[in-house]
Amino acid sequence: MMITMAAKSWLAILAIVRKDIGVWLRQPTAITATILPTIAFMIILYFGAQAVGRNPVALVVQDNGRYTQELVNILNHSDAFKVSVVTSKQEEAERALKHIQVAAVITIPSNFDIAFNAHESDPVTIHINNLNLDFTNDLRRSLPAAISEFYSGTQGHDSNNNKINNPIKIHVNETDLRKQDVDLLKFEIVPNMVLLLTTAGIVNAGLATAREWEDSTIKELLLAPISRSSLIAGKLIGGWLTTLLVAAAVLTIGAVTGFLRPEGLLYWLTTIFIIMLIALTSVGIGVAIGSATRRFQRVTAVGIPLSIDLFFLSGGITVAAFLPSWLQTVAHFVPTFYGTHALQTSIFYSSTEGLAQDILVLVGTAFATIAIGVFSLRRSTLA
Amino acid sequence: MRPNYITMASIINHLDSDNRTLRVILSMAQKDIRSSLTERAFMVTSIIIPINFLLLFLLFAITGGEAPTAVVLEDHGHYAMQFVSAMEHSHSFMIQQTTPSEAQNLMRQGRIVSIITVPANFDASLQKGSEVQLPIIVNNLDVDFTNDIRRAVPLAITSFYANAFPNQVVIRAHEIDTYSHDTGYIQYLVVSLMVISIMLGGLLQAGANAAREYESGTIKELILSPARPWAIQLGKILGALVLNSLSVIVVIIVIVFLIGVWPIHWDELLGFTLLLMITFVALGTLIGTLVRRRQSVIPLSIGVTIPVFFLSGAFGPAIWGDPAIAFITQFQPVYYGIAIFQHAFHDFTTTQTGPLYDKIILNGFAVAAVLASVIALRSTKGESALR
Repeated sequence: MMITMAAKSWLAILAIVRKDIGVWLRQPTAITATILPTIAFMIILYFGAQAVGRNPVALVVQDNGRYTQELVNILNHSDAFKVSVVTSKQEEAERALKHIQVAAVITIPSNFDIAFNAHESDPVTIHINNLNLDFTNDLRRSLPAAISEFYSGTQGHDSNNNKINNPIKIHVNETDLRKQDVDLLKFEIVPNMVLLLTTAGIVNAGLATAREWEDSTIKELLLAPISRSSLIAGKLIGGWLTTLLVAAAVLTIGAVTGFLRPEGLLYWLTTIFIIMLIALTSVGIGVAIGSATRRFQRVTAVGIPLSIDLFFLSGGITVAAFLPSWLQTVAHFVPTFYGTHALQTSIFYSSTEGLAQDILVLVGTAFATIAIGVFSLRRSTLA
Repeated sequence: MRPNYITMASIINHLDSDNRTLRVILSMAQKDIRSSLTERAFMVTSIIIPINFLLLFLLFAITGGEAPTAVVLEDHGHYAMQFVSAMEHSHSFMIQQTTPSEAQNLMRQGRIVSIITVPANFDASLQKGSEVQLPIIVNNLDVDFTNDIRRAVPLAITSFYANAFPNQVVIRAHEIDTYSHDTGYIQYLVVSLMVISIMLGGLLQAGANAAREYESGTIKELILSPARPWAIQLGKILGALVLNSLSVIVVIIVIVFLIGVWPIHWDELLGFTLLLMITFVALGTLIGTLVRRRQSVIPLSIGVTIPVFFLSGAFGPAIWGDPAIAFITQFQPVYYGIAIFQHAFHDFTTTQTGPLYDKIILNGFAVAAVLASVIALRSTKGESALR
């Protein structure tokens, strides 16, 4: 008898899951709503990563001495800006600055080599279009970096065959915490994937739940000889599987392209486990929103901005560690922060640093959101 | 007498027709406003979403490119202190002085991204002209932020030498700025964000209003009525404009009075806010007419607004970025909207076309958006006639 009851419940759950996934696959709007915000951010990141920190500058070279050429060479190969105009005419460069063709004009004066050899003040002028501090500070940092590089390369003899020692005696001894630098685009794919998981979970589970009220099929479900627990479990599992379907597609593409490829079985398992937890958390939120609002429009109006809020508050398009202290404290109360951290450490750094804490928070949040979802759906079906 | 009589009749007819059209426009606007007020949840959401975006993007800007850094001072000599001061003035670090163990703890907690140790022999070595190693531990999370630190340290070193040993390091950067004062990143970005808020609010509100007619089936009654399609669509635009103004007013209050970014040209700000509202509300009406589902309007509006905003020179002139994007972005209004608002608030020129042409182009976009929206409704009428 007990076995028959359990089998019946499972059959009901499977039927609800199959129906929800089938409807989702036939609804291009739902699929679009799921992936559009993430695609939007990926486009941003792709183009943002191309242009980051590489402002165009004009270079005015008024000297043709050996040291001038050396500095010009360093400036031309700088990864901090791109030299788009090289001229000996100051007016030409200033015109480019005025017409927004370049962000700054760097001028190496006509007496550069003479002053350098004579150990006299030898300024290199940088005229910056200081529209905002972000661009301006990038440029401010770039020229001194080039000057330091110039000094470190001039150890030898000057044009009068006098020995020159690098006068900069402070040498940076850098130790990196990570074995590799991860480029901006690759690094930001993880928070984007978390955004995709939260949007997919919240919107799909929310729409699947709200649909029962929009189509008035909730009455049929409630009058059917199945328990409410089966209905709730069906909704949660359906939303979870849909979200995992999206995640599997992204992870496969990421692994094939090399953007998201954990090294070793342990880190693959960790990555998959974290993804499952994030998906479960968002599905819980989705079911809660869907049963509370009971309307498609409200689910998307609440669900999508909520996913984007979670994305930004967990670091989003920046790096959480670079945020001011108070904002980092706020981020520590956002569950997706832990999901993002766990995925980044597993995928990029093959590390389990902080993993226990991340998993603990995610498991706790998953339980809490599912409880809220169950409570909300149970209340709605009783009303 | 007859020609006069005909003229008078035509004038009366014309005036009567004008009155009817005006009545249609006002009725449509009034109906849309009333309908929206009955859906308070969406109404509130459409006001909150643009402001929400404004605040979220500000969080992104709040770092200001300054790396949270712990400085461990093992030497408290004159040069060591001068070096710390050079770092503090490099616009690159958020510095806190700590002990070595505190620094390690902060690094472990992810509260800082670099530790710079000024060694015990710093002053003595520099006085003797000997080499000094400056140990730096970097949490090299991603290359963009890490490179900022790598470049900022030489800036601090050359600035330090310029003050401490002016005769030794003779080459130094002499900076000239185009504008008399630096504009903070937030002050700049918030202006661009105003455009995204107007865009998002306009698309959401107008899109939902237009799609509602299709969802509830009332579009049939509208297009079968003797009212002209352009009058119906203008009425919808007017209604959405009034509703959208609520969110725009809140955004202006937040930017001007709370964040404190005061516009230099108020007339430009108000005039072009209205023009941008018309443009985006018309585009929203167009989207709603085309997709016909409110459920689709929301993700579509958000999904379109975010990339367009980023590609339109929100963080600095678009022309300094990717050349292909710099070319493409000139064919959409947000690019010019951001440029005009930067001019209105800061007197900046951020496009090669300049403020005058930007204004003319924006007017062109507004007219084109309204026309496209009207044409979309007319084609709906055509479809309906065919059925």
